[in-house]
Amino acid sequence: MTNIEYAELTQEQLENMTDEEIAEYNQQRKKALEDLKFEEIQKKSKAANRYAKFKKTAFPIVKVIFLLELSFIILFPLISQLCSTFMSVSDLSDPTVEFIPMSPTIEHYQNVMTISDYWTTLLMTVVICLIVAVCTMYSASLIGYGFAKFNFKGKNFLFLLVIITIIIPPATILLPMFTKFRFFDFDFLGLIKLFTGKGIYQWIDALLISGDGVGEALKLTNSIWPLILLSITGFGFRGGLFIFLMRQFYRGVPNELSEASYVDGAGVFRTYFSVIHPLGKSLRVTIFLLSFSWQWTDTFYSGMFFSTSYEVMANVLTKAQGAAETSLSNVYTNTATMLILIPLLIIFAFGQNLMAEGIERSGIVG
Amino acid sequence: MNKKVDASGAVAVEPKVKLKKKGLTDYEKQKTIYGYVFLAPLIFGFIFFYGEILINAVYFSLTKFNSTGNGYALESFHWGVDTWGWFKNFHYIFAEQNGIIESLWNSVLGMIIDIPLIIIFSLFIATLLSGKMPGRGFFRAIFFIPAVLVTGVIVESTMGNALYDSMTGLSGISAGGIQSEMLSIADMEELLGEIVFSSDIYNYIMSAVNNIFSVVNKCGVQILIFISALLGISPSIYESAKIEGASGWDCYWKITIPMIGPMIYVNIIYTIVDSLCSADNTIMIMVDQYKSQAKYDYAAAVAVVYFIIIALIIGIVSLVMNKIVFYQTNE
Repeated sequence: MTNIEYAELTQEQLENMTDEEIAEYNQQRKKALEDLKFEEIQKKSKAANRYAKFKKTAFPIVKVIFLLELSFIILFPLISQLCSTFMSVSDLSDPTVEFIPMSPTIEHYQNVMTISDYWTTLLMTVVICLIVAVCTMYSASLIGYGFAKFNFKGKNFLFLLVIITIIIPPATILLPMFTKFRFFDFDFLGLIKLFTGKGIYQWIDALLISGDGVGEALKLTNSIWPLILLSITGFGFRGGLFIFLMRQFYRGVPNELSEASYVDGAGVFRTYFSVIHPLGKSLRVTIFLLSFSWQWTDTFYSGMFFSTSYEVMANVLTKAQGAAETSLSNVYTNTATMLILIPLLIIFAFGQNLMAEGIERSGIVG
Repeated sequence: MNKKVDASGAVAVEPKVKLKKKGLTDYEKQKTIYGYVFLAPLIFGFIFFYGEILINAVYFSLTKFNSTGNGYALESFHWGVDTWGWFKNFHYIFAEQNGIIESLWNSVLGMIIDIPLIIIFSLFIATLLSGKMPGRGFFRAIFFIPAVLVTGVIVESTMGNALYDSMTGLSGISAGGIQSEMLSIADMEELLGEIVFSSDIYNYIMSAVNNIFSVVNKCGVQILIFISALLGISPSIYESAKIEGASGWDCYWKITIPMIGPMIYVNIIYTIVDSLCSADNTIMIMVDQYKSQAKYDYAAAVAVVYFIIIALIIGIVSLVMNKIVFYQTNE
């Protein structure tokens, strides 16, 4: 019986119904109405489901198409560069060949690799970049935490210093920096040298090491020491940015976390290393990747500090350009660029997986 | 224990509060000392080398730089003898280098135009890239490329590359590049002219669209920072908001934006620095030119002036952002 039949009850029937019948009738009617409501809800939720399903499939498609277009904008010059590296000499002079080479060749790669001693360079660059990036990552994290969670005298001055390191044009500190590391003397802001004529290391050398009273400064150029010193103290390339980044991150970490760990009896360092430090993982990976890749393509520091002893990636380009005949100079430049970029992209593709998703920031409610 | 007669005449015993207070100050003291410990690397670096490097860089701007056979010599200026005394180099760059004020102004203007565009665009891309989607690793790798392209040796390799020049926007058309305008300003004016309030707005949008290559290439670092910030937000916050009945739109504006506020601040500062200190900035070109002519004194003077201006801008931005940005600790 559906409710429509109930509606067809006549007045006569109604009057003839006993109390029990009326009660039964009402109960059944109620049930039928509920069934109807349920059907309606089901219908509605089906529509909602369909919409959700549509959203689930359509949105990613739109997203991917949009991102593909932007990727094309980024990749197009690189793809055309990549294509030109496989062109043989006859292709290069042929105006009909624009992207896909008629007679592809890997000759340019072989040449550039031999000219630049590529594999040694690659290994050496990886080692240097790893050292610099790891030092930068940890020092930025430490210093950033110090800025974010502690109050002490001179904090503002030191933070200004951090900002200075970001905005100072590298060209202006080139010469002072080279001089400092060429004649390294462990001096306090150059004050001791200003008054006594010799820096600390020169005094030590004069009195203890060579003992001749003249005193020579340490020569740190042509070694990796300047880079280590700069990155471990947070003064490396854009080191200020990384410190600022970590400081902003730690400022957002609730104080309750560290307080809870103090209450549990952990000291400041224990709190930092076992509670706070793991939270910043995805940001540290970002810093690592940026620092690594900037060191990878760096010409400023490597040009200043490694004049002869270290082969870094930047040299691949200079050597390739130096060795190329004029007709091939563009191709050699492109080939060198690809040889520099491709390992970096491979490293990034693996590295970005470490930026783990949805790290639980804290166990604190609210 | 201190005994004291209070207003009603009863004798009140004051508990020893001294001990508690002492403990508190000790804790605060400890925190102060640990602050220095955490900053030890920075302080060490400043004292042993970076401080001297900075002082020397500024000192260059106050002296006359002469390169000699095997090094350089600095000759100081004298008050009364040289115009502007010690600041003679500054006199030179302001009085004899026409156009420095204009290039300073243009740099700052360009930066102001850049900031909203870059922040909004990179936040948008980062939001797309941080969600689940097919080929996410691939896209992240591609959007990482601009962060590498703008530095060091890659810049050198792309300079003078005709294709690159043509890709960087409208300038390519006049130079006979392969690319034409993606959207014609005239067409869009016709289409949007009656809808949009002012012509400035669509000119701004049109120029952004047509310069999409350079915009995308300026966003690499910002996108990466935003992605890591977005991944750092705990999913449980979204879950509880969903249970309370918040829509995705609500979640984005009420949770995502405030939670990544500190990183928006970082990105604004980075965008300012990147825009003002990039290699194609006129002031930077000026500094590089002086450097290549071995006029380190003028280069230093320009840099000092520029530095003061950037520091002022960053100071103003920081004041504003400190008021706006939400930190979880401030609840």
